[in-house]
Amino acid sequence: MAKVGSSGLAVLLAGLADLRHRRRLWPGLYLVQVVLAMLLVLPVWAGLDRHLAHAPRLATLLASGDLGLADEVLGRLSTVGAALLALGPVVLLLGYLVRLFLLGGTVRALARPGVCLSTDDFLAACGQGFMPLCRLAAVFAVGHVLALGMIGGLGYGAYKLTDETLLPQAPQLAMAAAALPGLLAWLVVVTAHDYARVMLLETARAGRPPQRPWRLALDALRAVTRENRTRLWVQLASILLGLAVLCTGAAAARFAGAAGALWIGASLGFGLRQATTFLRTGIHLARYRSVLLLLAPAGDGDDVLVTM
Amino acid sequence: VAALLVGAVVTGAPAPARGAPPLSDRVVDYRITATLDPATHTVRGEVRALWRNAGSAPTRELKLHLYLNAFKNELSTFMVESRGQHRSQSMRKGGWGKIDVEALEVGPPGGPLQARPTTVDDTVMTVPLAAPVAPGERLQIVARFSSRMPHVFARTGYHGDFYLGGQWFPKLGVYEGSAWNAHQFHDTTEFYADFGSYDVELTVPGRFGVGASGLPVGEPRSQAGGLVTHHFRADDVHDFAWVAAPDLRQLVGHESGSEVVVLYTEGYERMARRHLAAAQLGLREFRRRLGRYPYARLTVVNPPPGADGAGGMEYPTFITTISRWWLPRGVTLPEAVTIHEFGHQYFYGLLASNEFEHAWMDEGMNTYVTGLVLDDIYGADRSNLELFGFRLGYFAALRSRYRRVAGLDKIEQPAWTYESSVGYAGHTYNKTALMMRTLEGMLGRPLMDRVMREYAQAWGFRHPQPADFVAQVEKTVREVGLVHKGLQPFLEQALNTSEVVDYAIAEVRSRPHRPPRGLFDGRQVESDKPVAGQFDSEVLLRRRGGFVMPMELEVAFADGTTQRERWDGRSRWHRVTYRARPELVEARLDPDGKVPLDVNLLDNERSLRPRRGPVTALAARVLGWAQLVLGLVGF
Repeated sequence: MAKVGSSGLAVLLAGLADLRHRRRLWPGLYLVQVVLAMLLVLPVWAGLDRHLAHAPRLATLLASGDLGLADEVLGRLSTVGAALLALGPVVLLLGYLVRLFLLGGTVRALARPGVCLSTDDFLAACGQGFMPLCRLAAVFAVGHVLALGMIGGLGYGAYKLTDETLLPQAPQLAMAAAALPGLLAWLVVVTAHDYARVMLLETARAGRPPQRPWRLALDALRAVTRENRTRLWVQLASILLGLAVLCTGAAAARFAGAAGALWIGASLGFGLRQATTFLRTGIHLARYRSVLLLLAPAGDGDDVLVTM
Repeated sequence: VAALLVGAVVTGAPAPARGAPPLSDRVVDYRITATLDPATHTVRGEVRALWRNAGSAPTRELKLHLYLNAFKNELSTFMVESRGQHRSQSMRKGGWGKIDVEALEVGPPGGPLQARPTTVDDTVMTVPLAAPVAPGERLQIVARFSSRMPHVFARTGYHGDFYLGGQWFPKLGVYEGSAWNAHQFHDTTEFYADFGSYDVELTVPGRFGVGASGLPVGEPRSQAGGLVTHHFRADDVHDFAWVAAPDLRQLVGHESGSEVVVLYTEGYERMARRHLAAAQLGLREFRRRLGRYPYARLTVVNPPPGADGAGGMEYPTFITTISRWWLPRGVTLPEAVTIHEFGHQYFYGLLASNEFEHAWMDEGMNTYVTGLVLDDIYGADRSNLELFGFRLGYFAALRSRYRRVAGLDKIEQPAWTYESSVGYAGHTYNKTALMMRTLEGMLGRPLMDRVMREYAQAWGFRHPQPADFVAQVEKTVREVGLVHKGLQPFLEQALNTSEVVDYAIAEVRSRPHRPPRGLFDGRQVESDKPVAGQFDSEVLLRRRGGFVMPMELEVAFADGTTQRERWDGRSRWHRVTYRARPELVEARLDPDGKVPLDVNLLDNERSLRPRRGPVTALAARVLGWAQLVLGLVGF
């Protein structure tokens, strides 16, 4: 494996370049996500078919982006909406747990470029990492809540303080400025969580005794804030890249959907949305590969082994 | 168009024409002198009112509205009902307001005045008179008052140094027939007053700019202590409001013979331009539809941030609007609010119906005409919003809000008797506008336009009642030689019942046509072979709501032909049958969309065969959204 320097961009690019070796992992994770999403979509699809298959106006809605018609449809689908609300949180939790489960195998695979993990090895790594990752998630949940509370609290405080001014832009600008430290804190927490996960999984792979979750969280926080701040920028860059892909895909799908005949627009829109999701899965993998690269000491061979 | 800082007062408009023939029956003549003390948020002053008994019987008492007492404490009718919330704005801690009448005297015009006792019940004050006032007789009333302005969250009050003076002085109720009409101020009620003249002198610190109803009289006069007095006069109006703030700026334009003055604070230059353009558009469009705006000036106030509670309100010749500096052009909220508030100059200003008792005659009719204006300007499918490829029409948004409360209340009921403020808005604004739009569908747009124009012209500067509007509709329809039997039942159900319009196509069937079997003229026919290209079809219609009105059905056949049927809509179901015709592929109730009052439009149409393409396309979108949400949890 080519060694990368400390440049955040170079590391992220190396992570992205590594995707060409993930011909099973990348599509596999994407497919799992599709299956999970289908758990939510299938009942909705059935409801739509039952209530709207005979309503010619639905085609107009899809072609026109008319929110008035969308509201009529939602009014008609109140039972489907209720099912969606009930099912949504369950599928989300399930999705999170499945993602956590698969992370063990994913990181194990990413740590060994060019080596294709067998399904058994992949699942074994998944099983090995699952419970420790759950415990770590519980610790970091506190960090996430604190960071989000900081964003909301500081933003709200700034809004209230500037609310009395007669300048119309002041409250929003103050709110945005005050929320910045919270956003930075959230970025630190998200990055540290990724590093802690990788450190945890690599410790297990090396056969070393696991650290306590809170101790690991503190080590990860130190790793991203003191030892190498490039790690933060890589994280930020990958988040921004994911957002850019998402926004570009959504906008393209929106306008493709409104163009031409319904089936052409719908097919184009569907294709673009799926391409977006596939790319975001890739960026997700590249991010973890970058984490592995940034944690690996210089001079390691192809098999990245994280040391602490 | 000119933009400048208003150091003192808006000037430059033509002086009010004294001695001009009155446009209204001026029942009351107010002369008010008042001083604003920003340190205590208090306006102290004196009202001298010359009132005429316009009723048909003598009265032994006076009733005056003390609207600001609505904000006195948590026990006021307004606060109990609103719980300190009004249109998403909340009352701030300590922001109480009240009005005290410190002394009140009455007497004959020009004669000696006599102090009278008063009793106050929340927002209504009663003054017993020493002698009855006969119909046509005049009475002079002099009241010294002190108004502590509330922190603004419901139309009137202060925010920082910004003041919006609405309902700020003791105001006479309306004596009609043999009784006073002076209701308590409720969460969902607005106002009702007699036409008259207002001559107001408002003294404020010199750093304040002032705008008000009517027109300025002369230049502001400096007073001792750095105060400045601003003098305004408004004739043929039924209320008077003002705005005062330091650093008040103005943008001036003209339209249809009137001056338009937009008053705003720093940072709202771009929005002020939007409001000016919208107000000019409103003047032009309402003039075309209803007649000329009869006043020399329209003042539009753009409240600063934090004073949003002052926004979106109408007073005679003076309106307040709503702005968000970050709103893109595709969101027409600022224009819609300005045009709507201007529309009130007709439906509240000129057609001064009792808003306590018949709120729909102002809010609903105005919402209808506002929607027509916005649809004409922006397009019917995007008059509310057009952003990122999404669009929303004004009437579609009204439908959405009405459907949430459909069937709970009636249009014609006192404004304080609705199930909730959402129900009040859903019926008064939204259902009424949809009812008017449906009426337009029944009459046709040209005739409906004529109805509205003739109603505005016949009842301008008067106080029309619901029956007057209904009579006007029938009169105009009669005049063009139409006999419309459904009109009266439609208006009766729409106004006076809570029934909803909900017609549906329950079923569409089409089977191959077979010649009948059996014995025909001694000949036995047993062949059941279908006739090629011929089908027997039926459409089953249902009336799901209690509201009965005629409906039109359009069916489409496989050969591309269509046919229309009319159903009187009375029975709960109705079957339409077609024999030996091409296959029926689709049926639509109300094919021209003339009945927006129907609460469910999607069941107004049905194709014979399911169309899975659109459903699949929608499901594919839901899949995309589900994947996006899953992405948020790390996938």
